[in-house]
Amino acid sequence: MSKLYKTSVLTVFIALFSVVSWGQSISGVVTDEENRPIPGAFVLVKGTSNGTASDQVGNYTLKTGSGTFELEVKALNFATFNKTITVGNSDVKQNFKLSSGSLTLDNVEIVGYGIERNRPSTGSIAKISGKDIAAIRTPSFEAALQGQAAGLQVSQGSGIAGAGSLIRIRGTASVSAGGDPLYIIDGIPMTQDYFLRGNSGALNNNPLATINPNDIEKVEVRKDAAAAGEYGSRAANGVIIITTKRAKEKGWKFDYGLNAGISTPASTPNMLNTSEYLRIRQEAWENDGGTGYVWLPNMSSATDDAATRKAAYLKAGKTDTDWIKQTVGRGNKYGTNFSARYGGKKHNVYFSVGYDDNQSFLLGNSYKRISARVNPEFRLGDKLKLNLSLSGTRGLNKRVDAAWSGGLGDAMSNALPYYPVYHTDTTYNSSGQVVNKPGDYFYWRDEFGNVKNPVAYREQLRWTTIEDRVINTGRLIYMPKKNLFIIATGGMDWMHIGENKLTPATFDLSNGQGSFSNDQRLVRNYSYNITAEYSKELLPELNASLLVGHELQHSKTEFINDYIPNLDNTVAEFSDVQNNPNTRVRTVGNPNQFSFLGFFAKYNMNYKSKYFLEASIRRDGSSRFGVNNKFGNFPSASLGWIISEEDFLKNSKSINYMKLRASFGLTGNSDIPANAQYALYSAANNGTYYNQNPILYPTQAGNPNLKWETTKNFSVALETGFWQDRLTVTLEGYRKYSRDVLMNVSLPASTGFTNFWDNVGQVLNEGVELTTVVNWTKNKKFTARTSANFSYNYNELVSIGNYTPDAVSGGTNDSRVLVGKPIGSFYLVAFDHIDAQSGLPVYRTPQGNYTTDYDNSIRNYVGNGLPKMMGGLTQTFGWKNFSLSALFTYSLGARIFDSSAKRQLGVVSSWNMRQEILDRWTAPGDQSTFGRLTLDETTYGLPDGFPWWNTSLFMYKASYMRLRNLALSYTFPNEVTKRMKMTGLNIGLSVTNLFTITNFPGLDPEVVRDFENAQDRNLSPNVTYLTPMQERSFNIRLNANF
Amino acid sequence: MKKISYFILAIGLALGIASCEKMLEYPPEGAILAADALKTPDDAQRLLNSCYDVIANLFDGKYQNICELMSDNVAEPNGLDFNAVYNRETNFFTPTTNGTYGDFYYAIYRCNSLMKNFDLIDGLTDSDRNRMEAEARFIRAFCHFNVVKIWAQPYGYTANNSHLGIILRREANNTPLARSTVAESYAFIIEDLEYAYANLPETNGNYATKNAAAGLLAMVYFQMNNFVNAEQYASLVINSGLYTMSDTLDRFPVTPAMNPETVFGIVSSNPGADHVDQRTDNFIGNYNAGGVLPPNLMFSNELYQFTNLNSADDRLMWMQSSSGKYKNRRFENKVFFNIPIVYLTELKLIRAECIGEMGGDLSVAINDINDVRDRAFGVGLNDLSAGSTSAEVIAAARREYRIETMGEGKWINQLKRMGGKGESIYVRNAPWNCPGMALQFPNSEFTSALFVGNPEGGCN
Repeated sequence: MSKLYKTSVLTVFIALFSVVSWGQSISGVVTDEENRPIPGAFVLVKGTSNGTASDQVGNYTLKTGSGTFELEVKALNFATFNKTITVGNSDVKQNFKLSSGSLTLDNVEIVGYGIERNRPSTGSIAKISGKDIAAIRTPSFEAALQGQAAGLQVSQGSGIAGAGSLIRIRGTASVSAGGDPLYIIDGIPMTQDYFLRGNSGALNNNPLATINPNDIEKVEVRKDAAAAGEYGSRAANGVIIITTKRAKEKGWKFDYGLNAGISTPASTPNMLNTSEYLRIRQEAWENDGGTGYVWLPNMSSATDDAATRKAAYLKAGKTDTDWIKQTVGRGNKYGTNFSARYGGKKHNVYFSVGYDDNQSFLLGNSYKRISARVNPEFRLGDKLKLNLSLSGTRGLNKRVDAAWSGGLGDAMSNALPYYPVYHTDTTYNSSGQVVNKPGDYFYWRDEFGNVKNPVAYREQLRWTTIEDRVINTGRLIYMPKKNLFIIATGGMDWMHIGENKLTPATFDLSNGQGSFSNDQRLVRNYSYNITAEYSKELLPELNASLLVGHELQHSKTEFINDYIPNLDNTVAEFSDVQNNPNTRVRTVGNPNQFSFLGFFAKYNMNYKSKYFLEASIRRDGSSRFGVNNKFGNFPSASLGWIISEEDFLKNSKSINYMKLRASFGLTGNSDIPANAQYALYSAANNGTYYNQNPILYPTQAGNPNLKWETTKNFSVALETGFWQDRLTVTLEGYRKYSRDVLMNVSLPASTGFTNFWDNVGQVLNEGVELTTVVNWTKNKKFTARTSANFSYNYNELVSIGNYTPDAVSGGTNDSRVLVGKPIGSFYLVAFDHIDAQSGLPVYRTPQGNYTTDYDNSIRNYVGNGLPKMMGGLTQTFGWKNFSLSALFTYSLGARIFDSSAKRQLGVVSSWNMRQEILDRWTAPGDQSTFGRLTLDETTYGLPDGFPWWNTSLFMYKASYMRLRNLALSYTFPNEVTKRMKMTGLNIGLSVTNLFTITNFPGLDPEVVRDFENAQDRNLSPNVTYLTPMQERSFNIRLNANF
Repeated sequence: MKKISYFILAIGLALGIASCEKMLEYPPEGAILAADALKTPDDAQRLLNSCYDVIANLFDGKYQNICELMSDNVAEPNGLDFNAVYNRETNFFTPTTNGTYGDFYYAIYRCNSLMKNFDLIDGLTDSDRNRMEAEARFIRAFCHFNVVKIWAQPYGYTANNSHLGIILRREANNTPLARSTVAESYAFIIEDLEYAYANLPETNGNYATKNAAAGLLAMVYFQMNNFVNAEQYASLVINSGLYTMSDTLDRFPVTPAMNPETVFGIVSSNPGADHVDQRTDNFIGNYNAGGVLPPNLMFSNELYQFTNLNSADDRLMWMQSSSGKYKNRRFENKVFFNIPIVYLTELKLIRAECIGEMGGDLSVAINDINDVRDRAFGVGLNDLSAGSTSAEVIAAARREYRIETMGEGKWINQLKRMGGKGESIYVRNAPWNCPGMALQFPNSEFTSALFVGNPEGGCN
């Protein structure tokens, strides 16, 4: 690895100091026959990868240097244009006028269900190129979408390798059903189960982790009813469409990428050291009336005599372990990617292999991805084309415990600084036998009696999760006659997750027995859709197209667990397990499956390429709903008007483009567990008998009336370009009103059941989005571009029927459903102040009175975890061949409930505490953040035995702005690359999360905890419980093209 | 026309493939749809057995331990949940009490489901149907009774018992309900038990019988301080001659032996049976911690002193001194044993106290007490004298009751009963009717706007 670093550093050094005189370019406008600009046209130097795309008003600039070049200009729906141009010592102006050809099998491109047409959309779509995604080094590709589009909320999980992000499009519309957008990859819906492994080891499954970002051509984020409407029933939370790369040009092309970097934590917990902890604990003891030395967890007990307590205290003072340093360090990252593209006369193929080794800053934790992809295209005669996308990936996750499960979570909680990592002297039992020798791991018990020591666990536990994923899709495009396309797409997404965990005997202090578990999940998700699309010019300049289609999806998930108990201490590695004769106990879970069936039609009209109308209707059925409610109807309609084409604006000098669009439609959500509708019984397959007789009993209440959650979606937008797009501004407004919101309500225990799925709620989301791009310079040598987006969202839970806030809960008993408040509201006992005389916390009742008695009946709405405003700002500078880009992201108005703080800054207990606790009350008259220290929870009015202090004292403002990514890159000039027989060479340096501006006193204001289920994910996105911090990574990247 | 035919072709293809709505039916594997579950008399019997199964899980010590923690019989326990109960500070997050409460209603729902679905069952005879309904109502009453005793203030807390009782589940449905009053709660329990008494068979294996219903009615009326009815029902059972006082003090003999005084109880099946079944976990787990750790639950010094007023009492053997507390030895070295819930000793002591309260033939009461004392001290060694007064009878009955039932979770409700009767009762310095003496309901009950919880704390 060090050799690699040296080579990379040397290369950068050379690059930065290469002085090259190279700057000539060809620029101009690409238009149609009527001089209307064509956005998105490709202008390429034939036979190279040097190319560019025209902007919204058709402008392009292509850097070439001097020489003679054969240019190729391509645009959808237009005939390809070739021209040879000679460039001397100065820039060349060259406009291109393309003649509109009709769609052919050669130039047709499919996105979603339909043909991608080169015309303005009536919907709200944000497009992000694969290049922009691959440029940001994140644990999983979707995290790179952060800040890139208005209305798209991306919160990156945490620094754990393989962790996923939380994505919300235009707010949260669902309560208990999945609130994530629908992911479509190459035309088929992906498996996107975040809870396939539950919450094992405090890490949810990330279904996107196996996607190689280098294979992504582009990502479309579809937000409103017009854009997402064609996925109607599953589009309530938006749609993200991923398109992978294909070969587009003739001949062979090769790309090679190499990256390396290091991972460090973006912030560090500030736990107390031994002397601080002992001082705090002693003070609490004395405050409570204790005399002499305080008793210490795992060293002495409250009932010990004074001498024993003293000895323990003095012994503890001799050890000072920084458990954070024992669990957090530096991770190395390394990745390489190779792809080849071949474009032939009839067939073409894209091929790639990638390897990515991503160690996190959590010691012992890594995620390796090995991926391969082949995307061939076959021309089968004049009328038929077959596209295949075949990919296979293995994700190998070397696991460590985190959060509540241990590891860094232990370091932030029960790992007291006076515990040593290893025994330093020999200990004996009462019979005089040696129990521990120096160098043996020191184990302690947490308050629940669990044996702990995060270093021992990391070094001895063997724990891997292996995910194998095959996503294959095929698409037949049949063009029986001009303007008619019949497209059949089929795909399978096959996901196998195997988790192996070997718990060695050493952790079992009582019986000395270990265990092995192999947990397997297999998801087979098949789907196909077939569409027919016909377009026609009905009248002069009035074009119309009609698409009809049908779709079917079926997904089945199976569960198998093999368990071997009672392993002795000879079994320390996975290989030892194979040879162990102990019997495996196999448990085969009940598979669950769901299916989805849809019929749809879409009608599209455009007059003079100025007025656009689109209408669509879907009728969809889901197996998850009751017999009478399986099907739902989802219509949508949208309008677009290019105002700048009207005579009164056509000649404007300042406004070169203006479009107004509006859409209205119904979208839906059915993302709930497969069997919620059924009332079920069990005959106790586990063999339960009572009084020697078998039993039969109800297990699930069931709801045969369960139906679609639906959202009325209204959106309006104005897109404007000023001064030939030197400035573009898009302003959008939307209102989403969801009804029959699916809620998994807690049933009163007296009904005999615990929960029940019902269509109960109503949710409102409304907001505005602003996207603007400024090209500051016309100077070609120096470019400056600012791209910024801003979103404001108002979220309100309008109704929860006849239920109370406690009917649906999330987080760590902190989040509830409150009418009139946002989803994700904190319902807590409101802390008001510390009484200066007594040092006791004073709470505020909902009526505004003050009390020192903590009581659940005085819980109240105290704040919520949803950001009011968020966005991103990308500033790019280009100078000659250098490019510097900074991406800032921000989030304003959200609160975080720091659920760890209620123990780290609450009652002094067997948890270590944070530095902030030093600002505590010590004597009457003190003004302090925290109250009189105590070991007794009843001092704070808490019930005896209940130190979980759910008060608003630990709810913090969590607005932040962070430098998400800072990247410097250098593109080698053609002269240089030609000499090296390359067509392109680029090298870059980047840093993620370099700094964050925030008032949040906890670890990180960007937080996504491990969740229990989709409801928890919707309800408490901004609750943190021992959640690891974000990653700060330093990366170097090299890309070569041949 | 040709274009249209292409569309028709495409749509036809789509519809043809997908016309079948069966594609949207995936009933879960490994579970039984409710509609298919209850078809035969055997299905019904299995559902009924599952109600007993729930009770067996509740009375393996789980419920009794909670009751014992509320009383003065045990010392301060180890464990967060137990502390909350002991200190009368349960809240709606307390897992132990929440789980126990929920279990009672599982049983009630199952009983209600059975009664709701009788008509679906082919070939069910009238006599089986009547018996099953009687058993279901016995279990429903049993569950409601045990819930109302500790989740509501006792009978007598208000003059007309209009104070809040519990949720009464008469039907199998999910409808959230409000709490009924204590008067309504007891009326419903009695209604169920009277039906059960009228329809249950004399013998029914280990399941509920006519005498089980009578015994339970005696306990319910006694809890209401209705001494006349309590005495009548207790006498019905005692006089049936079907049950005899065991010679030994051990009420929990190791299986398969059955304590002969058991009218209704929980059975375990020891190794050797076809289906090994242990329903004793919460007793042995909490009272008999092995190894170095002290048990979670131990008897209080106060109970030991109370028992030791007469050091010749053999029941002192149940208590073993340990650091100022006393280990409960009643379950020592046992795994499989049966747990009597309605049994002769208690019914005799109930009858004795009732007679003492009502006046009447005190010799019957004195004999009942001496039946218990003879076993604890040896025949005639510590008998209550024949000329004892009513007050002496009552005092002796109460004393024997407390000692006989130590660890069985019965004493706290006697203290509450006495408080409800108007006596000045304090339990570990807290008045019998302070708010925390009624456990808080689980969080889930508060999901209904109709529900009103108990006030918390206020006892210490």
